[in-house]
Amino acid sequence: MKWKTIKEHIIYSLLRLSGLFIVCTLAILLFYILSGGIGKISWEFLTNFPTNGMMSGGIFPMILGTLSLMTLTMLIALPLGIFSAIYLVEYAKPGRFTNAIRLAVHNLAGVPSIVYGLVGLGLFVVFLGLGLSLVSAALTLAIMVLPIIIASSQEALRAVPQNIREGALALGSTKWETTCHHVLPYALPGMLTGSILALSRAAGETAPIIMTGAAFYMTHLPSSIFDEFMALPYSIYTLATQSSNAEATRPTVFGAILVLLLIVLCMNLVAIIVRNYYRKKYRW
Amino acid sequence: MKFDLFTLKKYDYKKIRNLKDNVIRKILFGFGATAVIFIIIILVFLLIEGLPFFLEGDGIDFFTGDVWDPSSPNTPRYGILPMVLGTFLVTLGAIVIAVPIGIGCSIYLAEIAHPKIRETLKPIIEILAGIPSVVYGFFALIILSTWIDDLFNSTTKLNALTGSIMLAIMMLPIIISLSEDAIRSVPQEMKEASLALGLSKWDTIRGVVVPAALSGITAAIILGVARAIGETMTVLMATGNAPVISFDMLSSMRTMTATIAIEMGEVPFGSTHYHSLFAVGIVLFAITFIVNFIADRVMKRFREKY
Amino acid sequence: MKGETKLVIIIVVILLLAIFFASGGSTRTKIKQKGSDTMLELAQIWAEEYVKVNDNVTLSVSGGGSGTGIAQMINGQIDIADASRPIKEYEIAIAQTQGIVPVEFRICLDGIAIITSKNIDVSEISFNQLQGIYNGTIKNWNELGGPNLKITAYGRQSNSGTYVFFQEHVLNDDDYRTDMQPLNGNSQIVDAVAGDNEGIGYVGVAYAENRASELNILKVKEGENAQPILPTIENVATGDYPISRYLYIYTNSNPIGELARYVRWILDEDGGQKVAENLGFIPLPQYIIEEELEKIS
Repeated sequence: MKWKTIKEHIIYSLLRLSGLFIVCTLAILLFYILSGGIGKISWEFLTNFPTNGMMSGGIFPMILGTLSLMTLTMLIALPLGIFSAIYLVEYAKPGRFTNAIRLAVHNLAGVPSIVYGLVGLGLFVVFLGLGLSLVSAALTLAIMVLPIIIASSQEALRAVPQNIREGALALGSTKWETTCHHVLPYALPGMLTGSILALSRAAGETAPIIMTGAAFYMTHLPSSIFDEFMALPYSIYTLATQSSNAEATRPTVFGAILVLLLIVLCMNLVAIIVRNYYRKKYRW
Repeated sequence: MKFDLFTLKKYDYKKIRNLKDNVIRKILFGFGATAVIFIIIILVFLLIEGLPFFLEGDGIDFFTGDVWDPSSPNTPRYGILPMVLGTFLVTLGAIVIAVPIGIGCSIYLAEIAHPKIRETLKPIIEILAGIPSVVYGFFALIILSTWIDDLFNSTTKLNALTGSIMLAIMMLPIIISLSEDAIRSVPQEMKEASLALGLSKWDTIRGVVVPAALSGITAAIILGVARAIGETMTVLMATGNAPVISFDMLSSMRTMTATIAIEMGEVPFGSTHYHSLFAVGIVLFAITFIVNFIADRVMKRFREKY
Repeated sequence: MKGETKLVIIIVVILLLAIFFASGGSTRTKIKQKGSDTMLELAQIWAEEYVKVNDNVTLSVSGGGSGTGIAQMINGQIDIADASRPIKEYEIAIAQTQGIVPVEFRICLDGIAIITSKNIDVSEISFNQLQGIYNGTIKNWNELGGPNLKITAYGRQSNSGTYVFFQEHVLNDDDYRTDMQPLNGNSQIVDAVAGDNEGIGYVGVAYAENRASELNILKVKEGENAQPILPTIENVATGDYPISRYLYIYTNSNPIGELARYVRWILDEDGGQKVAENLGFIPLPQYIIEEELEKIS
């Protein structure tokens, strides 16, 4: 009897340790990144172009590039994803085709990011003639984050109780009116959460944009969406592996990582807050 | 008269609404199909560009050859085995690290942890999930590799072990959150019945809860594995990228994803080398497809149970 | 919530689009430059300095390797390809099928330094020995008179011009040893070799000189009886150091207009050549500059 209790205590401690491991991992990561990068963060860093071989100056064009990329990606992916989800949850009849769609979404999520880069290069850059540009990269990233938006939107729609739909239909609404005026308003916050998470994913991806339009250095900002652009993940990658004077550019890299993380984490935080707020508000 | 007019008017209005509804239904169907369209586009594209390799190059050597040296001026070799092995070993190492910690943590979160701890830990896990892969790659390149070098005194600090550890950390959030969902959806009655029969909390977890949640946990692990197989940036920066066959976890290896990333930019369009990279892409796609398919099936069974 | 979110989104989109078009870039000529990682910093500083003297152009610079640059120039996607090796026959052939005529410009000289960690007490190496190490026939440092340690050879990846150049000139087109560690860039090789007491690597001279205190830079002798030469700027410029090469840029046909102006500036001894010199490369001798300038109409 006593041995069993001891054994259980040991096991519980091990389990607690695994929780601790997670916390430690994040703590270590943040520690190194903060200690390496916090010294670099300043107003100049955030608003200037890089100078002197990327050893000084700032990362403004990369920040702008990443933000623009995110916006463009969202403009494309959001309507596609939300309306897809609406179809799948509200309209689709169970059957082979619906199963095929589910499998397709699942697989899109599993395709390696480098394959997206390949397809983006071949399809958007070359075949459609869009060239190495912001729009090629955005289209590629849009397909990449589509599954995330579809999955979270589906969940948000499913969370709305069935009796709301039934009530609306009973009162004479058409399917679309029910969906649009009764279901969607309640599902929108959940969809928003998913979209923000998808957005943060798009911000951090490197492989798809290397081949579709990201440049290491540009003397000016992109002049249109058909132009090349600079982006935080690509600059981080290139500076970390290619720089001739790694010591001198290291602070810039840390600074860029810190900024990228801040963008990503802020978005995750906003998503969590939105989700929690509406979870409390809509208690079915 | 008035009544008739009234009915007529209402009928027309309904017709328009129904028409609108039908049109919207068709449009939404189009949207719904986009996922299928895209996945087909990806597959078709890979096939169009990859199949020519098997016509030009040596298809048998591709699958059985143990040397990958496409730019050799004398004898270009396109053997994929070193990279398949690289992907396999790095993923295996990641599984060995991530599965025990992941399942342990999910049990901890679902059953044992104080709610306040849960509320702090879950956001931390979500944050870890959101960190971009290039940041993990950078950390592996600069910091983790030095630690491994100090600890194991390996010849190269960029090796399979570095890659595995980093991949494990990236897999953990997926495994933990999905497993935790699975464990939490085990009905309360089952746990209570077990406790009522005199079993201790841990016995309940071990003998009742985990087996009941097993399909969900398995699906979580499989999805995590799929993520690891498809990961590009982290392994590109962490594993050293030597395309050689080796079973030494402390030696440099190359994954399939890294090969495509490294060589894609340099190949002239239409060359055999170009097509061979798409062939590697096809293999990757096939592997992730199969893994996702299995996970999908397992998830389906898990959903149907309760 | 719905209305507010919409408003926020619209504002953000307008802001971003406004910033784009405010840059006034649409009136400038675009020059896209890509390729060699050895030349990446050079190209970036060229771009940075050139727009200070000419505001009518906007330049974009990326790496990816010499192979990448040439491939994209052949595909018509970029204007200038940076290459640390000459274009190959089959690349020219493919270019012709696409209607592209690659024009080669030498733009500076570079030496390739052979480096090891400080604990290897070998100070010179011959071409034969270097070849033996990199094609796998020489496996231990004691075969060169050094300590009894297994040799770990570091090199570049196959998309690198440095990789190709080394293979052609040092290995004589032989295959690299299968266990060579292919690293992503010059600085990674320096990192690796500095930290590995059995390692050897080849990097651009500038990279080695930057971290000279952490490395043992070998003198190279071309034949067994030749004079071993250190890879200094002077030795490369005079041609004494045996492993040196030109660095190139390629354009599609003879450059005209703004592109021609840029290439002239690159070849100018106060322009691009000065930048190259500051980075540790060797500027071209005047007579070569004049040969290259002839190619610009």
